[in-house]
Amino acid sequence: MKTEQETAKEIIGMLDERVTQLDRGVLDRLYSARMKAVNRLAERKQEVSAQSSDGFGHVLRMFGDYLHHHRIATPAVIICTAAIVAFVATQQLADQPSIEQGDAFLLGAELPPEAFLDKGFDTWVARTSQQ
Amino acid sequence: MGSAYLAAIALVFTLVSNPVSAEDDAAHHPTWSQLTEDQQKVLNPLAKEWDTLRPWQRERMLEIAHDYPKMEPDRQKRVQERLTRWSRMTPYERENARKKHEKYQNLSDAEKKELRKKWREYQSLPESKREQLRKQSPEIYDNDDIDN
Repeated sequence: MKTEQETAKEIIGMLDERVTQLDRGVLDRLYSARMKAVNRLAERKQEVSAQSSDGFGHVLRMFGDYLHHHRIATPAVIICTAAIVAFVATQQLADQPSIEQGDAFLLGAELPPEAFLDKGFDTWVARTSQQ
Repeated sequence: MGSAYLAAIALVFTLVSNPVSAEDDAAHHPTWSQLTEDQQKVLNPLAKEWDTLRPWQRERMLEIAHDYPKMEPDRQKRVQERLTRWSRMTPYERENARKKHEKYQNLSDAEKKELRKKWREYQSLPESKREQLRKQSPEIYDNDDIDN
């Protein structure tokens, strides 16, 4: 007993053998039917995409459309944004005291803060250095 | 196109900006009881006067507490010994000390050693002699340095 698949293969084989013998009118009708089916499929896809265009999908679609229409300008925007981020990050890092420059390291230094402020010590250093 | 640039700039500043809220303010200028146990331990010499310190003074002291764990034990000891005196200095004195400390850091090891030796010698002088040296000192700082 033949299975469904085996029967289907036989039918396909017979159709393939006969397809070259079809006359022009049949071929035209087949082509016309195929085009109708393709057009119907395209219409259904458009309906589905229109229904999903609400909410977040809509935003993504607009973003995609924007990128598509501005595909030359988009790299410029990305580069500018990256440059601004780099600039701001650099500024913020520059504001941070380096590891040995905080007040804690001043207080922990071998010389006390008083040594840096005592004008008498400055005079003493200048005088003893001249000798 | 212009709106795209503006949107990008707005996004960047939204991401990197640090808006100051009431909670942030409390975090930057906490009272003594609001400090963590570790902060209280470091800033202990200031316990009695902490709540009288101005917000910017507290901020500076918190920076010290933040850097404290990165230091060697002998440095930590010196920090605690000098903390009270430091907190009572004027902003002008502190800024001058920072500037001169920065110069000191740029000296060679030999120069630093020499300067420490001279400090010990200076400290061994009688107070009257040191006072005399102070009077003989020219005005070291220009008006430009007085920016506090």
